[in-house]
Formats: sequence, structure tokens, C-alpha cells
Amino acid sequence: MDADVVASFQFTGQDIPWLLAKWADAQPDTHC
Amino acid sequence: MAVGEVGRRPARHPLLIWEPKEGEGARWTYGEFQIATRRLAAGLAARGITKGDKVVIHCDNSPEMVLAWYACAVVGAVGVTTNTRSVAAEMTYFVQQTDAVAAITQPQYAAMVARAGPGLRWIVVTQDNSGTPASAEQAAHGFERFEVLYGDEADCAQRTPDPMAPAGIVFTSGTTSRPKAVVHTHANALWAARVGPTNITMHPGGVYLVFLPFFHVNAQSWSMWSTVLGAGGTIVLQPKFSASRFWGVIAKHDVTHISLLPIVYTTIAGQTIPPNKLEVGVFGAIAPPIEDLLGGVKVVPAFGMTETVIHATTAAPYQHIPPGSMGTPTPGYEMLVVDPVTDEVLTDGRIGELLVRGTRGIQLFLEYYGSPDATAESFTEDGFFRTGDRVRIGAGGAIFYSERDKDMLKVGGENVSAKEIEDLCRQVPGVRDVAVVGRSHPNLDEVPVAFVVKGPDAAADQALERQIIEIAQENLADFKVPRAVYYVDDFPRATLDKVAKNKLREHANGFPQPF
Repeated sequence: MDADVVASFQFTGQDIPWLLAKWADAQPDTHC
Repeated sequence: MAVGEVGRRPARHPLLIWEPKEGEGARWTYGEFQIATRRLAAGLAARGITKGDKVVIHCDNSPEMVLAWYACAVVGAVGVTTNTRSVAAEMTYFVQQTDAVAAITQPQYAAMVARAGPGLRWIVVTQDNSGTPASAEQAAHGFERFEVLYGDEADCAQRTPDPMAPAGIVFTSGTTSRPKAVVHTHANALWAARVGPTNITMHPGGVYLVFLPFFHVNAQSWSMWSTVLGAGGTIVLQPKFSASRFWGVIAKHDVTHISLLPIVYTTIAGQTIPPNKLEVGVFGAIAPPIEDLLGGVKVVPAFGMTETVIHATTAAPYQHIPPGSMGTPTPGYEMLVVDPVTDEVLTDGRIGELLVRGTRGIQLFLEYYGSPDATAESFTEDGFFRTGDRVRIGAGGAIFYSERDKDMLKVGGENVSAKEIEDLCRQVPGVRDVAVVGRSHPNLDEVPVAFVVKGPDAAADQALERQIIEIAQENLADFKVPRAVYYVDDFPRATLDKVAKNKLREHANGFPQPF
């Protein structure tokens, strides 16, 4: 199995900054 | 709400809380953390750091260290986090092995890093040593301050996500002579974010207390990727473990999750436990029966290595596993137990080596940077990673830890290669042969001791011991330095004339404590 093929299926368009930005946008204020 | 506006919310959920030994702490919400890392990324780019560049981050636990690591990920650079107990000779190896181009460090390490990496393009130094003021001598390092890296967020370039690109390098010791540079990709972090929270029941209101070094996978992945990237929870970061502040910090920040090592429960025994919200303690491999000692917290066993990125086996708190096991394989990891000599697959409960398979760069590390031979040797022909750990499969598929590879020591949570120490000791004139094993230690798990066969030109016992200790202190981190040297005429032997290190360990444990 070509790892790049698997990666493109599982994580295309994603990386650590992308995920952090998602959390920064989505993290609700209710857990303060 | 747009990402850029998050930092201006009046009440926000913290991503990172800094809890120094003394003085004011600090906290970053998710929005503030993102802005800070993007500003630092702009500064890194302005200083010539581009995608794929390796940046050494040689710091004790500190917010600057965490922010710098994530800023590298924003740029597409690779944060190389190195053990701060390393000596200059080891640091030189880390810099050269990773082709590092720059370094971020603290006043206490600035002179050593500069000496170890004369070819680095630049070095920046934090203002203090993890919250402790630098001495006048340390402060006179002559390098630019960490704060100069803060640029304008508007200058932070957008980058197309590349999940298989390297994000970080962590050094780990194995059975080879020198530590290996384990490469983690962005996808490794995303993978840990997907399975980590389930493994330890982390949730958005969860708070993970990190006192283990951030230059290890436990803090980076088991704790932070699971909590922050996986669940939107909070990290409380301490400079290091503090027994005296343990329960106070847990109560102050409503900590829900911690990592456990023997030193934790041996040093907090007998303390009064305040009201707290602790839910889970995560213990590597076999979890001892210490739940009562921790006020009833659920202790979760888990097995993982730097190379497996996250817990490869675990038993979530709601699962039932036999006592003494380290759970079952995490979905996504294939496992086999094989005879370490013949590779015969063992399914009948016999002890063998644990092999783990997954996609490299997702479930497993990408490679050992700069060591294609070591990378190739660590995998079987059909892609299983050789862990070097001995286990057996019990009832219901639960995996029981037996022992680590005979040439691996675990010293206070640090992996230590016996071969690395032995190769160094052989350079001492008069040492005909040497075998290093771990001797049991009440707090550190084990410490290295050396059995030496003297040659005809050897110095007297004490003088030779002094020479061995001195060369070790000069070239190895303190936890790798042998605590004692024992002289023998020859080593006990096992099959194929191999040194029977299990017998040497028994001998070592029978001697008076050298520490």
C-alpha cells in the first residue's frame, strides 16, 4: 500500500495548523 | 466567528496554561495560541526558515518551547526537540544528524548549544530558564532574545497542507549505539488526535497536566496531541514534576488527566489529597495497583513508543482487561508476537517480540532521519515494526508486557541504549570488554551499571572506574552515566556465546546499592 495514497484519502487538505485553526474557530466558551 | 476574532473573546477556553515553579503563570486561549504561533512563524520565515528546515528546540518545559514547536509546524519547518540533560558531544550529534539550521534555547543552555552547533545560522535565547531568572553569566550569552521572533501575523504566509510532511523530530535510544532521530509527520499528529482521546477518554473539558519533558513523545503526543488537537481540551504545563505541588496544581486547575511514572506515586505517597477532578492516570505498559493512592482515579495502562506515535495498546477506563495487562491493540495497529530468533508467530501465550504494523507517517513514525539502514532494519519484510519489547498474548487478546530488549534500559522515564554506553567505555585503555545492564532503583525504575573485564594494561580498580565514569560524564547525559563499575573475569554466557545480561542484572541487584 502506497502511504501517500492512504494519506491523501485520510488527511487530504489537513495538517497541524489547519486543525488548530478549526479548534480556534470552534472551541466554545462554555468550558471556561 | 472568524478565526482572527477568537482572540478577542471576553471569556475563552484555554489551550495552554503555564504553571511555573514560582512567579506569575500565563495562559493562552485557542485563539491567542494561534495568533502567537502565526506571529512566530512570520518571524521564523523572516529569518530564512522555510519548509523542511530543521530547527533545534533545546529547552526545559516552557511556553516558548511549545509555541516555537507549533510555529515551526505553521511554517512547514521541523522542530527538533532535544533532551536538555545532553552534554555538548551529544548535542553536536543531534545538530549534525538532523541537518539543523537554527536553534531556540534557554540562557542555561545557550553556551553549550553554540559550542555544539557552530554551523547554525542563528540561535535565539529565551529570557529566563522556564520561569527561573538567568544568572548574570547565563544572561551574557550575546544572542538575540526569543521575542525577536515575534513578527506581524499578517506576514504569516498561507501554506497548502501537506499531511505527510515531517513536523517534528524526537531522539530515542534503542539497541543501536547512537540515539535515532524519529520523524513524526503532520499526519502522525492528526492520527494521534483521532485515537488518543478515545484511548484515555479525553474530552473538551479535559485538562492534562504535563510535567514530563516536552522533548518526549509522552508530552507531545500522548498528552498534547490527544488533548488539544484531538479534543479541544487544556494543557497545564509545569517545568518538571513536583511532588510537593502535585495535588495543589491538580486542584487549582481542575486537572482531569495525568501521565504516571513510578516517581509520581512513590513520592506523593502519604500526602493529603484535596478535593479534585482527576479522572485518569495513564501508565506506560503495566499499571500497578495504585488507584487508592491517587484518590480513586482510574489508572489506564497503555503501551507505546516514539515510533508508534500514540498508545498502540490501551484499555480505556470503561473496558475490562485482566489485571497486569497493557490492554489490547488500538484500532489501526496490527500486532503480532513472534519468536525473536526464528520469527515464528506465537499464538499460544509464549513470550515473544511484539511487532506492530501501520502506515508509516500515519500510525507509525515516518523514518529515522538520516539513517536509512536503521529504518530498514527496524521493519520486517512485510512492514511490521520491531518493537524490541517482549510480550505474551493472554486470555481475550489482552497483551502482557514481559521485558524490554536486553540492551534497553529505562532510567527515570528515559530510554537508554546499553550499547551506546558500552561503546564509549571500550575506549578506555585497559577495558577488554564491558557489559552495561540496568540495576533496579526505587524511583528511577533502573540505573545503568557496568560490568568490566580488565585487560593486561588496566589501571587499578578505582583508577579505572574513575576513567570510565569520567569519559561517560564527558560524552553522555547524566542519566546514562554508570552508577557503579563491577569487575569480573568473564561474563556469564547464553546461547551463541551472547552475554547473559539477565544474569548480570541479578548480580547487580545483589550488590549493595551504589547510589
